[in-house]
Amino acid sequence: MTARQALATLPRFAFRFRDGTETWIWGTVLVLIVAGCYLGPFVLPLANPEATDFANALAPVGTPGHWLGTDALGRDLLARCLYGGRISLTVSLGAVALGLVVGGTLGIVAGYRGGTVDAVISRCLDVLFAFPGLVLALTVASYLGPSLRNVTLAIAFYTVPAYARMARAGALRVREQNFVRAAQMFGGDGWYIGTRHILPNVLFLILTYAFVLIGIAMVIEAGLSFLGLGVPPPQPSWGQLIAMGKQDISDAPHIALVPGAFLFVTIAAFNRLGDILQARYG
Amino acid sequence: MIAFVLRRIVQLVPVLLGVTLLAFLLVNLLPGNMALAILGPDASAEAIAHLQEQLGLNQPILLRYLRWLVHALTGDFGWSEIQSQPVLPTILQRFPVTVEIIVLGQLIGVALAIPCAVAVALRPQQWLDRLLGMVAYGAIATPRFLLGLLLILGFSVYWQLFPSTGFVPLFTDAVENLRSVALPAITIGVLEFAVYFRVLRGEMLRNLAEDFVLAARAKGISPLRAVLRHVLRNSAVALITVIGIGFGPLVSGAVIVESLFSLPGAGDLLVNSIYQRDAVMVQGVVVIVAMTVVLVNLVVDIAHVLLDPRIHLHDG
Repeated sequence: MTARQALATLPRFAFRFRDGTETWIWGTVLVLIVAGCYLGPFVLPLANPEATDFANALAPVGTPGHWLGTDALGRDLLARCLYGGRISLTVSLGAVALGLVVGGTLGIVAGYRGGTVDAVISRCLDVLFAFPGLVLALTVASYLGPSLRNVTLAIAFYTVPAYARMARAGALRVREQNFVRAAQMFGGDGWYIGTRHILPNVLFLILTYAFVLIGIAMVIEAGLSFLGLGVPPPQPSWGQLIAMGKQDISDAPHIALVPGAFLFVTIAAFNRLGDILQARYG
Repeated sequence: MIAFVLRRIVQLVPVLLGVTLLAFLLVNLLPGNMALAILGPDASAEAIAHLQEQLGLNQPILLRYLRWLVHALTGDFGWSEIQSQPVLPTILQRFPVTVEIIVLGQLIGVALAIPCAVAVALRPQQWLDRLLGMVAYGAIATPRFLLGLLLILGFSVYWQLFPSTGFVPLFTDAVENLRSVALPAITIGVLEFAVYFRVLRGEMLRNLAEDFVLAARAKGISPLRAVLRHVLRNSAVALITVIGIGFGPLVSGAVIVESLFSLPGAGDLLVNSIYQRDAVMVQGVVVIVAMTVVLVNLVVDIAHVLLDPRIHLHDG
């Protein structure tokens, strides 16, 4: 294979699927998981996730009635994973939504305004970037106290600067375009140009980035939960379910691996869809 | 070159000041009474008031920050009442463990990624490329504690090759030390491999299409030599950049891994200090970690310029 042919094959992906097929597969997986977590408790005949059943304790995967097995107290793992997924998904989606709105606004303002405004915002972002995501989230979460809202806020300390940097780069590029110059010459003010010209042109970039960031937010949320600083019980998220399964890892590994599989597949789906969208439109 | 380094160091000063201020505010401004944490829930109101007076907690926050900053600049990060230990020596004592697993993890990642990327660059889009692509994808989607649990399940529970917890210091017994950090280092190394492999692969395939590779091939050198001598060297700069960007997430990973494998590193110190609500210690660890991240990025920037003569200093 010559070098030129190598270049020609570059945009293709490591998988043999055609683009469209792969998007559909991951999209379906993601819809099933999200729907299962939010709607499952209403439409599926799920057990109570906290109901103990000592006769069926430590049931393996595939047991009739407990299709994904049970933990040491006989609690149904399918039910616990679907209820737990709500916490993981809600926190991650919330943190990314906060990042999108707050970080996106900061980034567009910094990129479009430039000058002192940009310098101040950028230095503040540099400071936030100096803290590793989990370290910052740990510190914020521990001092705000554990709750759904506070854990979301703690993770937003990572998503806001990440989004701001992305949006700023986008705004810098759009600012130099002729239609922005034209709008400025017609006397458009900052708000008008920002919302009518800059925002629509960076919106797609920002939205595709959300998929990648949700994956990262889920890893941070799971890490916080694993360390015991996530959303407090009685609502164990996937990370907490894995942490609880750690004690029984040698006798009944499925207690940790079943929620682990949910977490893995969800993150993989978000990552893959994000990459496909960015490759196609980014 | 020296001017470039000096300018970068001057640029770092406001960031480092911001880092210390944010860490200080996070730990001191948010709810949670430090005196109460030290004395316990049964303490009387007078005792709490007395200790607050003693620790200077009644003074304005900015004054307290400035006092802390002046002390920190002389290497005095304070005294942890809860652990009865000075902050900085405690952190420095824990640091080698964290550095060891991070360095070993990086070595594993780079040592795997380079040969894999070379093999793939020689035969892109073949089965090996697809396989490694999927492995890298899977590794990136796996949170580190989940991977660590899988490794414990395989290497400690089934095959009993490595211990799942505990740490033996390097100078006590070097072999046992390597055994005790093997699984943590692999846990870190697998994700690093995935990231480095993907970046190197993309960068090498891009460089393969450059004219200098075509010229080298036209002179008659073999594909392997062309990849090793011309493509790999030009792609190494991208690898250095990724190592810099990835250092923050790497530290996050070390926190998780130390906690999972019960290693006495700085991440474990941070998590335990948070459990004990030891504000002074948390503040110290967070500041030191953030400063390390900033300094590593400075080193990466400098290495970047040294390695790639195409980067012009006056543009940067």
